[in-house]
Amino acid sequence: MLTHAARAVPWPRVVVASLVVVVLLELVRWNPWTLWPLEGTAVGLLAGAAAWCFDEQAAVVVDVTPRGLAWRTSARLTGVLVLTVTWCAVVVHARDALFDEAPAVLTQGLVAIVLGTSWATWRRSRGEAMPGLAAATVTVPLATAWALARPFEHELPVFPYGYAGLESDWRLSTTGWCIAAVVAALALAGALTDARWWRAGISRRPGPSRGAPRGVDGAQRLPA
Amino acid sequence: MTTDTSTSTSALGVLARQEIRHYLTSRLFWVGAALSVVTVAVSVATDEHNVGATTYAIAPAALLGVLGLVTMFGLTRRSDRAAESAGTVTVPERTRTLALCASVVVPAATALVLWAVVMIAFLVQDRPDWLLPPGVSPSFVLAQGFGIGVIAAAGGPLLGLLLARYLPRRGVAVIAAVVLVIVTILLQGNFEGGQPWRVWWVWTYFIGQVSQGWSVDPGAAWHIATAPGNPFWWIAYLAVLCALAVVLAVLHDREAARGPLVRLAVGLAIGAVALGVLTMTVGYTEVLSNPLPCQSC
Repeated sequence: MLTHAARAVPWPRVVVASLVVVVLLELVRWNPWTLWPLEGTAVGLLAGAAAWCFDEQAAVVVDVTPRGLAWRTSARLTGVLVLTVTWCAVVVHARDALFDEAPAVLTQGLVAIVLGTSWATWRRSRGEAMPGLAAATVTVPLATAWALARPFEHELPVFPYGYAGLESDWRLSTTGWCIAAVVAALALAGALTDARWWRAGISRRPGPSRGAPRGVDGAQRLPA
Repeated sequence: MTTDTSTSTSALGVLARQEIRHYLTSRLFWVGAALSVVTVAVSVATDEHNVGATTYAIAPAALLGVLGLVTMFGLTRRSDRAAESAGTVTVPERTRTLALCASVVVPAATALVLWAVVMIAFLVQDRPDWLLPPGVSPSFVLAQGFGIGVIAAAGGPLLGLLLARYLPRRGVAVIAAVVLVIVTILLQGNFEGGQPWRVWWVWTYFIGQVSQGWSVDPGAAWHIATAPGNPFWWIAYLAVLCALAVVLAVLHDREAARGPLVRLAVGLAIGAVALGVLTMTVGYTEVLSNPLPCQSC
């Protein structure tokens, strides 16, 4: 499993994403009142990077091998583990600058990782080869834009900000993130369960994986 | 020659309509547009003191501009893939680039409507004495809102087009969006007495809610203040930068004549520098703060 993880996980991307997360949170620690939106960017990046860990460039080959999606997902969780440890460490280091809400910030990042993992695994279970890249392309700018604009900041506080009079916002936000985590965990379990049926279907009727590399003329390349 | 030109013009019209449709069917655009519309509607409906008119533009700039960067990057890559799949080059890259530029009308028009709604509400309502600093007219707020709100909504997609033309690699749009936001946050005038040179950046504020000078002290009273810089000249500066971005994107096509475009790009760059200097030096060169504390900050 470790051998598979060493070769399958996009380690350079995971390392770069982890370093960027560290830089973003350190910037927040330096000046939280001004640079707080970068916390949202970091959370979005965690979701995208977690989803990235499950991209399978050789899906047309790998998806029909005896190793199931659950086994391959478990192996690729080592990449997610790096992101998780990075987030925990950087939040603990910056805890004094997080408006006394370090646990809530920690929760946001961890849930984002679960969301990214769940989304990518579900898409992989549906046969999509590279769902992580598409997810990162959306989650990072969307989280950044949301953290900047903070629409409905009291009704839907995704990335709350500041101290005074905002305890309810932080509580509501954490509650929302926890609900999202539960939904994502259920979706992840469902996707992994469904994977066995899907894999059985593939063995009966081989077909191309969505998102797999295509030829110049747009035609799907099928395994020989 | 005449036939070539008419064929190219005809293809440009068809492609432009197609790219506008593609932009309109982008889910990321609709997410940003919906959030912008609701945010602005709530702000206009609930902000009895008009403070939101000074800060509303962060919604269209972030949700139409930043997301537009990613949207346009994707549309450009999609256009390139379609051209590669076609095999023989039937439409030159220059025509496809101009068609993509035309699709910027979608986020720009959306932002223009939002700007008009906010500014009409700003102009027709009574403004409290603590809102605008002495010597600052309502048109100052209109100019800032147009620069950040409308031009940023067009400039973000144009930046995405430029990146897709010169750095067509995976993840570039995401990294660019993050870098854009980091630099933008650092260039809001919160450091070094308002950072007069920050006006060279494409996304900055000229009026805001601050505690003293142009800094933020959470424990002190808040005031409305302007940062150094002339937002009227800044609009012209941004417009020239957008034109320069279009020219540079078109210049990427190495199979077409480049001489006149290079000269045009140089001229636009010189014009942008001149307008940037005017933005820094004409009119509002100091921090102007309303001595009355803000009642709604």
